[in-house]
Amino acid sequence: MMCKSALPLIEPYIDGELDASQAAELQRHLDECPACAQSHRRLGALSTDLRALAPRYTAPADLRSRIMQRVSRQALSSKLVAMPRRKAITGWAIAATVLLAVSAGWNAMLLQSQKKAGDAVAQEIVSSHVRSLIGDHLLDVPSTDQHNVKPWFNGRLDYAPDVKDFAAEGFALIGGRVDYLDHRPVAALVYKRHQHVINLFVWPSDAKPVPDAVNGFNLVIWRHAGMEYCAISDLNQTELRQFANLYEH
Amino acid sequence: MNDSGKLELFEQTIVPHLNAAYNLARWLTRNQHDAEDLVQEAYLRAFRFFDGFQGGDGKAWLLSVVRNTCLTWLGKKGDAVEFNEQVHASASPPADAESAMIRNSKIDSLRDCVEALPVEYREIIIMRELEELSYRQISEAAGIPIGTVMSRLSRGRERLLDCMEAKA
Repeated sequence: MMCKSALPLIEPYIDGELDASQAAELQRHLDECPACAQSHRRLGALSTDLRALAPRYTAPADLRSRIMQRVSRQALSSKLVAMPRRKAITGWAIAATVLLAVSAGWNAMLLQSQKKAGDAVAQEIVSSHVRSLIGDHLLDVPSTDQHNVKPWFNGRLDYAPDVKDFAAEGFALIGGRVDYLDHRPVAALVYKRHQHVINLFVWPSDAKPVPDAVNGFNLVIWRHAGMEYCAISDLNQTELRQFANLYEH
Repeated sequence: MNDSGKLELFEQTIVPHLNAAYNLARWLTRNQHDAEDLVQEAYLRAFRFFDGFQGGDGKAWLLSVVRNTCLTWLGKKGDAVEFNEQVHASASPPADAESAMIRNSKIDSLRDCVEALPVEYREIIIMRELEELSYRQISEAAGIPIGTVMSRLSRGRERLLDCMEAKA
């Protein structure tokens, strides 16, 4: 092999792009030609240095969840657009008419200023609820036993959610998962009422008032012992409140 | 493909390459905040165009979206082609003894030299050396023929060696 034909092969050789016979032929030339061998050493060292020393930047820890939130919201909005027109309008009409203020204990002043933040959280809750129903995202820990579900959250959250089962009352616990809401991991407890899924999100209180119906889904929100609870389902408000009452007492 | 299948497949094939996407965006923008914003934008675009993804190489496909998103942004900012050496130099910390020592380390020299490369060489070097893409994958991701991948890689390396030797 002549230097003229060897030189263009040096980098593909370093990059592992030569087949075995080409590589062997080039190596023979490098063994005999100090100038090409020097060029090979120089380029090889640069490649080694880059791989070993140049920073490989890694994505911030929460970037994945931020992206998944936005992507699933986009999937959700394209779904709403794709819905039959009348159905979509009904959904929005329900959302528009059932915007009630919840929980009497909340400070009225705070309520106003934090309403916007609460609305954003409600949208996230709806997205998480919808996302949980597609594919197999619903359960990280499928179990009807509260004593399995509760310890599963240990080490996955910095708080311990209260896990209760109401199978006897017709609201059967089917498991739980960790979800993301308002930029933090939260517990999602999952129940079934007939064919309806209820997601109960539990997270430490931050006093953002959340509307109680969005996009046709009903939300029931309450606070207890410094924790925020939000149950969401396509189940009607009355039965969902019945579930909330069971949980609270 | 229905919506749930699409989201699930996207999560399996595209989302796992987040670090590669961020690394490329970080090197192309040279700062963390713009990289985060652009990676998010790229993922939204990728999801929108996901129906056009025929299976195959998810990493190369995602990086092509990230690259296009970043280059469009750089183009709007007006520094797509030439990197202003002056601006970069003035952003350096004062040349006291300690920082001079740190800056003289090989890692810093490498980073500075890669950052100073024109973006069309920089992206190829990052894809090859840090993301370990093959020539064919780079050709897909950058939308250029393999011959062009090789010549840009070669020129980029030549410039890097000159830059490193100047700093030594």
